Amino acid sequence: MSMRIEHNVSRPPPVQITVDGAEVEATPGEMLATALLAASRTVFWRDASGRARGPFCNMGVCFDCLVEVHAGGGQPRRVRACLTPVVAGMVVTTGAVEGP
Amino acid sequence: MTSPGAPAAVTGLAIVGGGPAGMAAARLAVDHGADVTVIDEQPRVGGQILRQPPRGVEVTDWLPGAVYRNVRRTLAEIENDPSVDWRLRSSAVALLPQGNGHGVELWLDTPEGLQAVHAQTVLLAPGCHEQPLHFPGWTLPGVMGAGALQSFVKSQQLVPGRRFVLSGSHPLQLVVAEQLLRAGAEIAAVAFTQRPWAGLRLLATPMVALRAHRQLSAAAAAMWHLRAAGVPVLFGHSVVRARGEESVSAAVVAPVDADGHPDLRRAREFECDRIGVCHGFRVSSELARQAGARVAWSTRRGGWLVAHDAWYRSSVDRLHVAGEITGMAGADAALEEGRIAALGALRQIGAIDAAGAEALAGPVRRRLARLHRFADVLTRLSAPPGNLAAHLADDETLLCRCENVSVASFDRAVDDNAFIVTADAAKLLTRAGMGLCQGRLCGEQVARRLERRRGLATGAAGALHVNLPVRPVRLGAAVGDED
Repeated sequence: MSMRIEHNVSRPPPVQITVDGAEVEATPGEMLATALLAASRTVFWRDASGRARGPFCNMGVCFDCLVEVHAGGGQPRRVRACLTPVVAGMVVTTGAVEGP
Repeated sequence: MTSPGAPAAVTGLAIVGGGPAGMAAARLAVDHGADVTVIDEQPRVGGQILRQPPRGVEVTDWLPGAVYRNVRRTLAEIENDPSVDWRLRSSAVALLPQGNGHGVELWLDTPEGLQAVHAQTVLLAPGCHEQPLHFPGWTLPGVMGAGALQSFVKSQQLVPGRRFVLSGSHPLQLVVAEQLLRAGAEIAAVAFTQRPWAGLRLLATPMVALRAHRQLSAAAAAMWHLRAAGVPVLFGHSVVRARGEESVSAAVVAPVDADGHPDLRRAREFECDRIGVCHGFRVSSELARQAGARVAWSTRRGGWLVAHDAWYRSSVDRLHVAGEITGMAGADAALEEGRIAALGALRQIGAIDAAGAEALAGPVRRRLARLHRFADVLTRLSAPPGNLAAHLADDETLLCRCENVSVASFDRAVDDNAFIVTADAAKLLTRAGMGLCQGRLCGEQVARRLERRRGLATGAAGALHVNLPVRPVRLGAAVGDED
């Protein structure tokens, strides 16, 4: 369970994003990894053996926070959630629900 | 190979990495009239030590500690300077020295696709990344680098869990534990692999020389605060297993001896939902290696360090280096190295004469010499036991977390192929080190495990070869087919 720090922090009004079909509130500009953790999602994808995986390095090195983002009607892109800022209306698919 | 996309943008000095070294170098170079381009993967500069909150998120009293004072001053002096060509959210993925004084072409992976920049000269200041050791359960969601946890707090203003165990050998984990505690987290325990008498006692000792070192005094203050809050700080212990089904539910902590061998009969479990591991750092010298710069191995100072002269010029023409990739020495040292490297680069492009550079470099070199002496103390204190990973891993433990290569399957492949004696050959055979992180996390452990299996000396297996692009690039970006 993760929580945004409120003390001494002022954030812009939250926006809605969609994560695996569910509406999630997030702060614009914060990283997608932050929004997912704050929404109690720790499993970001599953490896070839079906093992749950999630963010490890939080600096773009490990690629263990990969999720799919569908933006603006284009092809979905696999992105590192730790390096991808939240934009209102983002549609995100994690690999959490896929079987092995 | 041809350049990607549109014709290359042209700049005087391209700086890879907007951390302390890159920021200090940019300030000095701009002040001497150079055209400067700064490339960084984050949306804002500052580097890992100053991972900034997103624009629009205001934090009162952000990072007040003395350890951040000098780097914050440099950040304030450069961040909003419009004369710098800022290339943020961009990774430099290839360096192509053009030879005969024709500068260097850089390839950048940007949100708009692959772009080329042609620079008269390049300064590499990419910093370092955490070097985790593998142990049972280390790929379970909820196990993260201690620095990763810290960045969530510093930059994202997120407590990235409820109850934490930290484990490792680097004093940074004390600072991280304290920042988490202050932000509202529970800290179940902090475990150090070192015995208390093996040097870390120094943290609690008011030695004047060590107190003067900001990183050590920050760690000492953090330990005092953690203990006052009732957090167990255990020496001679390590997390030996992360438990949980879909994510971490507990950390198994056991005493370890000086070689890293755990005493599992005396293990105990701490309930937690996050485990932060903190075994130290490895420098990000991949671009320098890809460009052919001479490197030398130092286990203690951060791995494959880029060799350089007194002006921080690498062995490759027009390729300058500064900061951690010249040897881990912390942010204050990186600032000074960035300044000297910038002076070297300015000499190269004729923006300053030799006498002018020498005059400016003198006081910087004196400050730097002092910082390097303190850094040496810190790195001596921070090394994990050499065989910790080998002792902790069980058969199923993943050696390579990208390609899912278990310790047992790696050993089997190595045993069945007696002619394999280099890390590169072991990678081709087993796929360990071949995944998306390109061996940054496991490459060193692949080499160590092979050497151990073969009875070779440490370092005998060599380094993983670095190819361009040094980070994975989306195929669409590479062929210019971005939407």
